[in-house]
Amino acid sequence: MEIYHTNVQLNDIVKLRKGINLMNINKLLPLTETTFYIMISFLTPSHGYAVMQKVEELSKGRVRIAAGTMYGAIENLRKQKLIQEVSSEDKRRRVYILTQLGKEVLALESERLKQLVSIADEFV
Amino acid sequence: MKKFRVIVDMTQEEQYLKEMAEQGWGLVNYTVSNVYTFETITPKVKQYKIDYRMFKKRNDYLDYLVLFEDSGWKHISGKKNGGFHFFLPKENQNQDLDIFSSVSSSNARYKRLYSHATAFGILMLIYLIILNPTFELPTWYLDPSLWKYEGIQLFGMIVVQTFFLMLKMLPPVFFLGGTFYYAFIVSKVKTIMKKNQMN
Repeated sequence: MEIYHTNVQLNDIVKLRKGINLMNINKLLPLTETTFYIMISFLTPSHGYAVMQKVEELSKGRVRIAAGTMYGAIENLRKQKLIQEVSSEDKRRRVYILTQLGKEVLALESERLKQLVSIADEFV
Repeated sequence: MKKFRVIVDMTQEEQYLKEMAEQGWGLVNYTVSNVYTFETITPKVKQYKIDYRMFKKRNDYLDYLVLFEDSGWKHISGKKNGGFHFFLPKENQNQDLDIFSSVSSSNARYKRLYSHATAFGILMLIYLIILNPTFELPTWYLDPSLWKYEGIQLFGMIVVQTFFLMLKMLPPVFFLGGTFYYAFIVSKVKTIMKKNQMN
């Protein structure tokens, strides 16, 4: 009886952990358009200003990120462990790259967007 | 010209600095003790932008400054741990733009100010409690040994007593004032945050 009881608790903890992970990723999705562009840009190691330029180029000038917003976005992505710092020769500018978790989130978001587009193609 | 001003509403402060520049007063710097220094300039339109941020590491601060520099903003005033940072657009760049391109990142500076002011306020309150001041002002003068003196000697003793009393009261008064100061900032920031959320 005791052992059975312990097993139930362990299972609950595992379920709980999975729940937390799922909740965390769901909290991140859907990404804002700006965050999506920023994460795409961080697929290659870049500093903040390079990302600002890259996003403007990718969005054909439609999405322009201001400096203060860019700095805050990097701070948030770092906290969420979606990007990580890489060493660079430029001591004045910090360089980051998308993490494995970042790539997974980007893939999930991409799936979500594809689904939206297929529905739009069908009905609109 | 020096001017004491406590900054809470940064949008309002940007407007104030713009009006000062139109009247011929250019911002030189703003200190941690809330004092502006202005210099005389030829009156013109200057679109000041204010951010609020503190930095743990020297390199984080450098990275921040270089990002703004690269993006066409001139850092006018601000320190690594000073909180407020003042920017002006460089010639022919960012003229009608802001340093924020989203509402949430613009509001985030108030969240940072809020959490810092809360932390400092609590710190001040803890120091105040540790000092545990007893406001026993009159009893100092009621000490019988003091009143044995007469005339100029009595006057001298009262001056000495007052000096020591002030020395003793200075730290608790400072921390009490600090607690109220940060409580004031916290309540004002909260009002601004509520207002911004409604818009």
